Amino acid sequence: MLPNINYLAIMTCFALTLTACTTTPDNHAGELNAKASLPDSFNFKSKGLHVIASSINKRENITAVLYGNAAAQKFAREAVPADSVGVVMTLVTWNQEDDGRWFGARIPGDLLCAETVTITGKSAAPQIKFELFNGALLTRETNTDGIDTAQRIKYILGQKASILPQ
Amino acid sequence: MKTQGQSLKKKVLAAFAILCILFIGIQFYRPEIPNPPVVADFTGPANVKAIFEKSCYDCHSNKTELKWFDKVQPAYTLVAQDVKEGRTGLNFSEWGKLAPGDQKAKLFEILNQVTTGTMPLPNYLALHHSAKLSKEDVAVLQHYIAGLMVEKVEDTAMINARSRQQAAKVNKMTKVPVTVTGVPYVDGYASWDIISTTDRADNNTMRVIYGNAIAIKAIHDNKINPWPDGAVIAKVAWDKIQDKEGNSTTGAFKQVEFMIKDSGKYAGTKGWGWGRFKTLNREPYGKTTDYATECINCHRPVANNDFVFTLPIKQ
Ligand code: HEC
Ligand code: HEC
Repeated sequence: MLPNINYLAIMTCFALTLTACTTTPDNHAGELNAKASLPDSFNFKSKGLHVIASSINKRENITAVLYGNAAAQKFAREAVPADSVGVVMTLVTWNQEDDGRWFGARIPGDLLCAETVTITGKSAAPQIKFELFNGALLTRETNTDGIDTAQRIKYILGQKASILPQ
Repeated sequence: MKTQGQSLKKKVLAAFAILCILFIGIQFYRPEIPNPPVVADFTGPANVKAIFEKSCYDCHSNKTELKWFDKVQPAYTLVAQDVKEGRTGLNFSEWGKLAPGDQKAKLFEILNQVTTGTMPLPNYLALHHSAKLSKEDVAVLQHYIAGLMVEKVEDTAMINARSRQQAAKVNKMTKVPVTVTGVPYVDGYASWDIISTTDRADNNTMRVIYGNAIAIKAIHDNKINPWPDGAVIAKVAWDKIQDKEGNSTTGAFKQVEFMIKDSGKYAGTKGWGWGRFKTLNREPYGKTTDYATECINCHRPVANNDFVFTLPIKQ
């Protein structure tokens, strides 16, 4: 019986060395992109917004996704938007970083900020509200003095919807 | 006791003899590994080609050179199978048959398979030490392949393609398109939550990756390896249109791809139904069922992550 056991042991060792020889780099299997994730406190899901478009700014090394409600979807799809009242848009911006799982790709890294534009009132005199939420915790910025709000609103409202078969 | 021990010894001997006969017997089973003529060999830089010849040509070219121990059964059958499958997905002896864009895409796939230790096959490396790529080899490949990334700025063809699609009539879906393997187009993904975006410098595209409700719940429960049955991941690719200031927006819609999790129904393809639908007309990709092998093989570096590349963003 003994030789049998020896044989088994040798084969097992051999099999182990075979696998031990191949060291694959850790690809963080099963993990989430934690630093790019939105904090629960922001409660983004409850806002019920859908993706409108995505964009990249190479110089600033950032990437962003524009979300909006139904009115915003329609607004961003029209070449010359008819009415802006009812539009709710959120632009979320991340730092870009290399994708550890694919050489040649860049993916969202640290969460930088979220900006929202909400338009209420009458078509003739729309009320536009701009809000900024900063950092990993998306803390509401109470002081937007240093920001060219008008320019940010124009930029966000100026984005066109990505083309989809629908 | 004595007679018992002797009969055991006899039995072991008999078993050993049978094994020997079987071992010799299977040596006569020789699946063929023909080396067809080299049609259009790889034409990249000599130092790059030398690495492929050393590490990959045994399985990915028509110049397979087996060592004596590869020719001993049962190893030989496995090697023959590897060569057959290897040549199907990538054959350096037929490199010239690929369109330039496909060659570039293959090179990125190659680099990613090498850096993740997916290729050369680990069990092959265990016996063929000389095929192992050194750090310098990897650097040579990386340098060459990184150099193939050409950024397009204010590309007229892309801008025109976007205009054409914007002007095109809305193309309503009358019946659900399916691939040759029966994987259906999943309508409605545009209103799913997204799980990430990517910026692909290797082919000047931008992608958004969506998840259906089951996939999003799995992310929230942190149970994504494996993904639960019913999860669907959709990935849309657009041209990446970049202006002079370095701002990029999405251009023409290129395709949507689906991975539909059903560990029973799709057991033969790693538990996922793989579907790609091109253009705004949702044309199913793949003329034969082999197309799914192409998907799986390129996703192999993330086999330990249920074949999913995307690192999901919770939102
Ligand atoms: C021992 C044989 C063997 C060697 C050596 C080998 N491969 Fe492979 N390769 C395979 C097989 C078999 C497949 C099919 C997938 C699988 O079974 O893992 C494959 C698949 C691939 C694919 C995916 C092709 C597709 O279907 O899209 C790429 C890329 C690849 N190999 C690159 C390489 C590179 C680069 C090297 C050398 C550095 C290499 N391989 C060395 C056997 C081999
Ligand atoms: C050349 C390599 C390659 C091939 C071939 C390929 N994929 Fe992928 N796939 C990727 C990469 C890389 C990603 C990661 C996202 C990105 O950067 O585009 C990905 C991501 C995906 C995703 C999003 C989920 C994930 O894994 O991240 C889906 C869905 C998908 N692919 C479907 C398919 C289907 C269906 C096919 C075959 C018709 C296919 N892929 C063939 C490389 C490939």
